[in-house]
Amino acid sequence: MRKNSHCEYAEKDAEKIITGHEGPLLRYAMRILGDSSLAQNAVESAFIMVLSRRKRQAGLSRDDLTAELYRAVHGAAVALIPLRKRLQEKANVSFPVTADEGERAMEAVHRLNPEEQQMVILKIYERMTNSEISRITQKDEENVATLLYKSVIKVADELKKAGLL
Amino acid sequence: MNREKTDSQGKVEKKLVECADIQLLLFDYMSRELGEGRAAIVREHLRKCKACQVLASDIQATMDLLHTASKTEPTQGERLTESRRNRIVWAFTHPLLSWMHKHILLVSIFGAAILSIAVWFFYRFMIESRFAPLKGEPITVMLVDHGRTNVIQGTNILQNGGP
Repeated sequence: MRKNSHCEYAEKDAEKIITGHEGPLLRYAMRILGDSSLAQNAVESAFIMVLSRRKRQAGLSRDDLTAELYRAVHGAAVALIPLRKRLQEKANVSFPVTADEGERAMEAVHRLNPEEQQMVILKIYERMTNSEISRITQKDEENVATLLYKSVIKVADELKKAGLL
Repeated sequence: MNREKTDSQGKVEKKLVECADIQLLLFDYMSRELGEGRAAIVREHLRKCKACQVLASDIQATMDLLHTASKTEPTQGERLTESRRNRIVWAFTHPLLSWMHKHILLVSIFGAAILSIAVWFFYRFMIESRFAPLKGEPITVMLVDHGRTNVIQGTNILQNGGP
């Protein structure tokens, strides 16, 4: 049976939004969770959460939609962190001493609280400006700058303790 | 003597305040987020202050390490799987069903409650209509009085309030 044109239009719209955002969002979730399957779960539930609120989403600009998607992915990923820890414990995975500097630096980022992790990942890995981060986290730019500084100092301390700095 | 001491204390305090202020701006300075005016102040302070120079080099080294981590991380799987894509599109085109699917427990409890109420009303209606006397319907009442039986026919006890 042929689908009606409204449904087809909505499908194309959704496909367009997914294609435009899935890469960066998956990368972002992957950096928080460190597991591709969990990252896919987080991004899927974020898309469903944001796109199913169609009326609100229809009035959003592209930047606002992106910010809302990042926020939703962050929320979903943070909710999955305990599951990741359980899975890691089950699989008895620990970071080997031979892990390269990059991996150990990433581990230091994972030891930050979710809010600080979000700041560091968005700034250093996703290379966003303070105003873009401010839009995503809904904090003012001064606040973002202060949080970023404190988070980076914490990471630097961790790296010093690990003998990497 | 005392005045000199106070002056030097004042200078130390000023330096401390200045350092604390500058340090908060260091990360923004290094990621080129500061405007030219504030960047010049930080640059000038860094030229003179050893402690802030050390902190700046720590921040730079941390950023370099984290950038290295971002380059070494695998970039595979940067697409959602087809089944996940289909589920998202379905949720977008069928928001109500998607909501019900997401809140299946709530929907089940609500559905069960509605069904119970419907069954209760149906049985109540059935019992009343089957077994209870209808309003205004004439009935036959038999009264036993001193061993004699009187039969009053066609009396409406509901209207007349009994014989």
